[in-house]
Amino acid sequence: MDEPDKDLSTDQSEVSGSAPNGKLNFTRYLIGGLCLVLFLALTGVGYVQVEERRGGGLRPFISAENKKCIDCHMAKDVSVGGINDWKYSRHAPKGIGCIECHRAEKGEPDAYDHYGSVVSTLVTPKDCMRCHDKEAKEFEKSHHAKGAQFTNSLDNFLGNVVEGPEVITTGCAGCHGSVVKVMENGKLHPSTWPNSGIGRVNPDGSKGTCAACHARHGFSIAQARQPENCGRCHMGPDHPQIEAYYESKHGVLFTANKDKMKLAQPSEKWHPGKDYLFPTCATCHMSATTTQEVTHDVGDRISWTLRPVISTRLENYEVRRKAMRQVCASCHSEQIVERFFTSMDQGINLYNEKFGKPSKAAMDKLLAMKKITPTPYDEEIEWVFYELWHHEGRRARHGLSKIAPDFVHWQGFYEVAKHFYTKFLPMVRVLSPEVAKELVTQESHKWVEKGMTKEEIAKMIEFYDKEMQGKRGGG
Amino acid sequence: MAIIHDDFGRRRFLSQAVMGFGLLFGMGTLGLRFLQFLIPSPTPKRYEAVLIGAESRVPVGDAVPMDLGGQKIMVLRTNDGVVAFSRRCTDLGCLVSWSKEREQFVCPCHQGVFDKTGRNIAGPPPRPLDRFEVVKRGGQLYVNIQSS
Amino acid sequence: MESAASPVEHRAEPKSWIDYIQKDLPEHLDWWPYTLGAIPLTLFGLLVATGLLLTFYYVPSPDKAYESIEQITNEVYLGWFVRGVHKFSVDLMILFLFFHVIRVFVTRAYRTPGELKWVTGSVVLLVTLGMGFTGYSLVYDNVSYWGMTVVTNMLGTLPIVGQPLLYLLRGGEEVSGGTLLRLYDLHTKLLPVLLGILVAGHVVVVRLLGFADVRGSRRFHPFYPEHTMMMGAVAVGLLVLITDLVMIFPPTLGPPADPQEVASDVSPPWYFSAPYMWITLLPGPVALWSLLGAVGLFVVYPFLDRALSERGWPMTAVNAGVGTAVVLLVVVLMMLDTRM
Repeated sequence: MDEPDKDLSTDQSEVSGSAPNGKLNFTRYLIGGLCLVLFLALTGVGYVQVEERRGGGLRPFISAENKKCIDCHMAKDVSVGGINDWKYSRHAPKGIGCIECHRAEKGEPDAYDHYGSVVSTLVTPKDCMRCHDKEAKEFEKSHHAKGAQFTNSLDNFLGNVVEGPEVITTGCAGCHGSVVKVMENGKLHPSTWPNSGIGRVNPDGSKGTCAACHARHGFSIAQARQPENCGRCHMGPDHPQIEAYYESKHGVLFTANKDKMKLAQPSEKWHPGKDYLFPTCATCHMSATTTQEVTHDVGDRISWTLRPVISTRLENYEVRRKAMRQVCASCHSEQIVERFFTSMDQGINLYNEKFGKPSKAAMDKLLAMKKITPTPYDEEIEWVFYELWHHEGRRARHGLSKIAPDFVHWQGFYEVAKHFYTKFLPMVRVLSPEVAKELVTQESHKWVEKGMTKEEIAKMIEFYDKEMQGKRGGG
Repeated sequence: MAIIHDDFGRRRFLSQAVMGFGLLFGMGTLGLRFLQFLIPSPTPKRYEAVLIGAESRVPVGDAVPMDLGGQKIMVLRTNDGVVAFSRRCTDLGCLVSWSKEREQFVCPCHQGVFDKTGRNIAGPPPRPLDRFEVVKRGGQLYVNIQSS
Repeated sequence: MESAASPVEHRAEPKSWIDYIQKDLPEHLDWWPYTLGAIPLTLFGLLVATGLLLTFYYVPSPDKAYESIEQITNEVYLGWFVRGVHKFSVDLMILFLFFHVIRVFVTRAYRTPGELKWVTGSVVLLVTLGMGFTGYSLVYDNVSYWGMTVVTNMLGTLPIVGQPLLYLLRGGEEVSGGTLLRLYDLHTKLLPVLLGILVAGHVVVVRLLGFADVRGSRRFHPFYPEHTMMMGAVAVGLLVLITDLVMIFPPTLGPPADPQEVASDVSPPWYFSAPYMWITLLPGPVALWSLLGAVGLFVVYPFLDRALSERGWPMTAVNAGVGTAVVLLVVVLMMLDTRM
């Protein structure tokens, strides 16, 4: 018998009208359609970008010599942090490793033998100079390099004697730099090392350390450009640069736009006004602009010294002022720059003339009259005077230079005036009424003794009535 | 009957055509993707300066072989200056060596010879040795090699 | 009794191997539960293709393995895609194998004379799971490393064969670079070939032994072009599905192997989740032997079925019950794993 299924199991492709053929067609369409969908999906797949290799750029390039250092240090778990920091530095891909910086010649004061290599723990500007000669030379002539040279100053007496020598080690020398002493075995004396003070005096004669700003072992330029970097030392009651900066508009804008600052760009690609818009400390005092190159002499663009009792102009101050104005001009118009510097100069002059010079003159006279002892800091008036110019007086001046209103007034001139009139003046009067009288001879001090004239009072009332709608100041 | 036949023949043809096209595009793209996966694209050449040491490290008239990140170079110092040559012979890629007496680079594979300017003077090499740019900064020498 | 020019006449000619393949399939194979077996087959092909591609970049050395996979996932053009397809194909293949097993079990398609179909199939399943294990170990992340350690340790506890087996798999006493290399060889050379042969064998056996009768199903579903086209459509559909899945859920990488510390969240891939929980909950030897016993039972089940049905047990109902119970147990164990 014919098996029933055989009838229909003939060659499918020729059968007409039966369901399987239609189904086959459908299946073919299905396959075709799905394939086209697949094609679209795969096209999309091709557009997915792979992410950039993480870390960017070259891997650390480790020479055979450096490999010895690294392997042993890693195995013995010594300074592993420094090595890992280095691995991500810009030095690492260029093959600048341990030996390149730490190598020393036999006979150098701080050289010693370390498992077969002659090395020096200390890496000084002289070492960095091997590649970074321009920066090192600029740095050496700057004020930063002189940071540790306050040995004969009042501050040194204050630290060493009035407070105690241990304060010098971490306190004063922490910012200013220690005088590094080498012991017999080539190791460094513990009271002088570790130290990254900017004016550190090194055994090889060079001054300072690049690591004060470009922290080891990453030596990152982005880190060095951060305001906090400078703010480690340029802060505090006696020179609140970082605080004043953050109060200023520049600082506020910087904080708000930190992620747009591109701090890691090389200096050719880090110009204010173009590549970034909000200045950091480095911007004004060091960094490249479209018209200037980088300078590691931080004084190059500073025309006043705000440090001493009486602020004076530095040598070549016109050139320096011009250099600073060029930085401002990267973003600002000429007029705004002019106005700022006028206000600042006038403010500094105010300090000088009204408070700085008279108070200094008074102290000199008192000393000459032997009303105060030659020993500093042993009488209260010396502390008051010291803080007047060293603390409040500087705060006022730094506030002026950074356009930080609160530092100019409340933390600056307000306190200068308050201490001048309520503390300094009475103390001087006690010691010598004549000197006290001389102290307040100026017009600007007349109000204290003589009060205001009738015309002056009338003028003031008119001002309040007209401009302030009758509200008289002071509640 | 014939009409019905044609009808189905056409339908079949159409569905087969659609399937064929689909397969071509779909499988073709899949195959393409697999191929693209296998064949790395040439990376744009980026150069980075790598420190090779002080100039004094290379004696005059001598060529120091170095391996920087996989790239094998020869740093030759003559009275005219310092040049960094690629050690890859331009014939078929063997590494050349420097012969101080003959003042020539010699390739051992097929006896290719280059003079001290890298010019191919004898043997199969078709062109001079490739050079890498040497940069001097503060007494130290850097070579611009390709960053990987 | 042949009629002239009848198409039937061609069929009466001596059977070539094409005709043999063309032997009619029962129509019930048209119904989707009966197509589940074709899916793992397609996926196997995809796995072989993508696996081969991956060997062009993967380095089977402990310090380079993880890095090479990172490179594939993040740096090589379309590396994420190839790896993603490979990963999803594994998951789907094992999932559909499980579905296929459940279907075959519930329909008792292994009935005499088809026991060999089941036996070959069960070995295919076991080898596939082995491929999953060896493949995952190659990633050399935390799961890989500790998985390698634990599994080889478990095998080592078997009597007589345990220690030699441990040494064989580990290439020594401890998990080392040698272990990785051996697992790599198993995964890319020995096991795929074995699996290929087994799969081919399973398909051939199924073809030769025929299909168990399903009531109402007649024998006229041709293999070519009907069934093959359907398999083709399924295959392309799978490709589309997997491509989309990979785009939406691109492959990731867990933390690299830390031989010093076992991270608290180390757990094996989902398909080992249930046995992993089983081992966690029960004491060592009990868990291992019960697992081995269950696997043995699984492989020889058709014969057990035959023996029991001869004694009058209602095996269809029994299978439905056992199947449900096992699936529930597995699901519960897996849920426990996610909680712990």
